[in-house]
Amino acid sequence: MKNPYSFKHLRPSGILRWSTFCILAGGGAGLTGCDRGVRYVATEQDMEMAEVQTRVESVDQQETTLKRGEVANNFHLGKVGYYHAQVHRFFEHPYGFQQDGRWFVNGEWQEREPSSAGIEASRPIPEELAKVDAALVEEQKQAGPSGQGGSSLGMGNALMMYWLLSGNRGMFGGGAGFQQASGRAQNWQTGLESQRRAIGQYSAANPGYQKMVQQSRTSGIPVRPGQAVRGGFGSRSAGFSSGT
Amino acid sequence: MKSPIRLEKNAPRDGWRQRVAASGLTWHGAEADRYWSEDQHLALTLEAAETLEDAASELHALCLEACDEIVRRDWFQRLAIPEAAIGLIQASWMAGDFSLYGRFDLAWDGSGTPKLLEYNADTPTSLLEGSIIQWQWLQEVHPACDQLNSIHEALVARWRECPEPVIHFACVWDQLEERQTIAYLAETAEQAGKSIVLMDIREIGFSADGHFIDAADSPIQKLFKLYPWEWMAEEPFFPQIGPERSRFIEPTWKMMLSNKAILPILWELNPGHPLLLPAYRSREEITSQNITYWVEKPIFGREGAGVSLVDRGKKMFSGAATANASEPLIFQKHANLFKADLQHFVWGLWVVGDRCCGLSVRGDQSPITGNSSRFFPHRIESST
Repeated sequence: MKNPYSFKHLRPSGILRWSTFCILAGGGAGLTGCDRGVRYVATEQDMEMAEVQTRVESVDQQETTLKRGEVANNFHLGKVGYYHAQVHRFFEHPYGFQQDGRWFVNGEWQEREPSSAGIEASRPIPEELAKVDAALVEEQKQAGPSGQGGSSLGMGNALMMYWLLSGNRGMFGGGAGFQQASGRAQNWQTGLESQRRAIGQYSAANPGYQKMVQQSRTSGIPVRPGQAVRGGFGSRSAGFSSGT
Repeated sequence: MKSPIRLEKNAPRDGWRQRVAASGLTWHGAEADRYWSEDQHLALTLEAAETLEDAASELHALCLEACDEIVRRDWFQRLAIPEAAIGLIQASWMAGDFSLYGRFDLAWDGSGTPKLLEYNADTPTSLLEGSIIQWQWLQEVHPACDQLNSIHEALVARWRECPEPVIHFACVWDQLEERQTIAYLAETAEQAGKSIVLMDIREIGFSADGHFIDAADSPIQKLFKLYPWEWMAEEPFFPQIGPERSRFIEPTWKMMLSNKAILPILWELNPGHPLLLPAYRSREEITSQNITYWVEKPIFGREGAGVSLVDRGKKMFSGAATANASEPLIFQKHANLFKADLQHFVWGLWVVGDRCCGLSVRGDQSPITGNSSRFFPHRIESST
C-alpha cells in the first residue's frame, strides 16, 4: 500500500501554489512574507470603533421612539440619566439597579426585585424635558461653534435630545437648547452618517472586527483590547448534520 | 451453496434500549422509526467479510494514489476546491499530516466485486454503533460468531502514533450524534494516554500570537474536528489556518477524498478497475458510454441529499433536497445494492490510519441511503 507520508519534493517552478510555499515555510512560527491580513484579537482601535458603533446603533434604535416624543424604559440619555417610563422621569440609576439588597425602581428603593417586562415607552413630563433642554445647552457648549466637537458621547447624544424635544413640541415650549439645536441638527445628522460610513469601512477591511462585535452582542461583554475572538468556525451549525 | 450474505431475524434483547443508550447510543430511535435495528442483522460468510475488507484496503490505496495525481496534475478545479484551500491541501499532503479515519461506502449484492459508492473521508459518523454497540450486540446475541470489527483497538493504536499529548475534540455541540461521536473518539484517545478536551467548535478562538485557542484560552496542540472542511473553507477563521494546518484532524488533504468528484478521477486513473463504477463529470459523458442507469450526486452532498437515480434520462428516485441546488454533480453508473425484506443495504468499511478494521451496515427501504436509514449489526458465521 502506498504511504502518503513518504512524499515528496517541492517543485518551485511547477504547479505548487505560492500559498503552499508560505504555509510550508511558515512552519509553526507564523508566516513570513504572507500577510495574515485579519486580526482576531481586539486592539485599542477595535475597542474605540466598537464603542462608536454601539453609540450609532443606539441612536438608530431610538430614533423612531424619540421622534414620537417617547423614551423606552431604562434608556440612558447621556448627561440626563436613565429613564423610568412608568413615572415619566430620568434618574441617576438604571431601572432595577441593585445595591445592598435593594432595587432602584421609579425613583425609589424597594425590597423586591422588579420586572421590566411589558413596560412601554412613555412621554417624559415637562419638568424632565426642561432637564433635557438644559443638558442640550451643555452639549452644544462643549461642541463649540462648529458643533462637531462635543463630549465623549459625540453629537449623537445631542441629536437624540433634539429628537425627543422635537417630538414633544406640543408639551414643551422649546428652551434655549432646542432653539440653538434647530440650526445644527442637520450637521449632527451628517456627522452621524459620517461615523456610520467610517464604521462600515473599518468593518469591511477587518472581518475580525465584525466577529468581535457579533461576539460582544451575544455575550453582552464590550470589546476589550487583547480579547480573543471566537465563532470563526461553526457558523454552518443549522440544517444538515456535520457527519456523513 | 450458502449465500455469502443474508438478512436474518433475531429476538431483540431484553432492555436493549437501555443497554445501547448506556453505551452512548441515545439516538437509537423510537419504536416506529428505529435507527438501531435490534431484530434483524446481516450474516456474512468469512469469505464475504474478507471480500469487503480487501476491497476497502485496495480502494484506500487507490485513493492515496489519486491524491498524488491530483496534486501533481493540479486537478483541484475538478474537485471545486476553493482557491484559498489549495495551498493548504498541497502542503498538508506533502507534509503527510496525521489522518485518523474514514469510511468507504460500498455496494455489493454478494456477486461479483464490491463497488465504491463514496468515501466519507473527513467527517464519518455512525462510529460508536460501528465500533461498540454492534460488538456488544454480538457478544450478547451471537457470542460464538465473529465480526469485522477492530475499530476500537485500531483507534487507540492510531492515537499512540500522534505525538501531541493533548487532543481537543470539537463539533457543533447541540448536534447529539456528533457530540457522542467526539466523546467516543476522545475516550479512545484517553486510552492511548492522551489528555483530552471536548468543546463546541464555535468556542475556538484565535490568539494574538497566531494560535487557535480553546474556551480557556489554552493553545490547541491538536484538534479533531467533526466538522467538514468544505464548510470551514467558507468561514472567517479559514484564512488563519496557514501554519496551524497540521494541528487539524482530519487533515486538509482529506478534502481531496471527501468529495464525490473523486469518483470520476478514480475512474479516469483506473479505468475498468473491478472495485470502481464508471463515473463522469457530466451527463453527456456518461450517456456517451452507453450507460442508461446512473446515479447523480452533488459533490459535497450529505446524507443522500440531492442524490437521484436516473434511468434513461428520467429521475426514478430522489433523496432529500440539497441545501445547495447549484452544487456540481457527478454521474456514476448504478450498482445493485444487496436487497432483502424490501430493504437496500450499503456496506460501510472503516479505515483507521491506512488499514481497514471494521464493517457497519446501513439499510433503507429507499434505494438512497439517508440520515434516517437504519443501522444493522452484523456477524461473521463461524466456519464450523
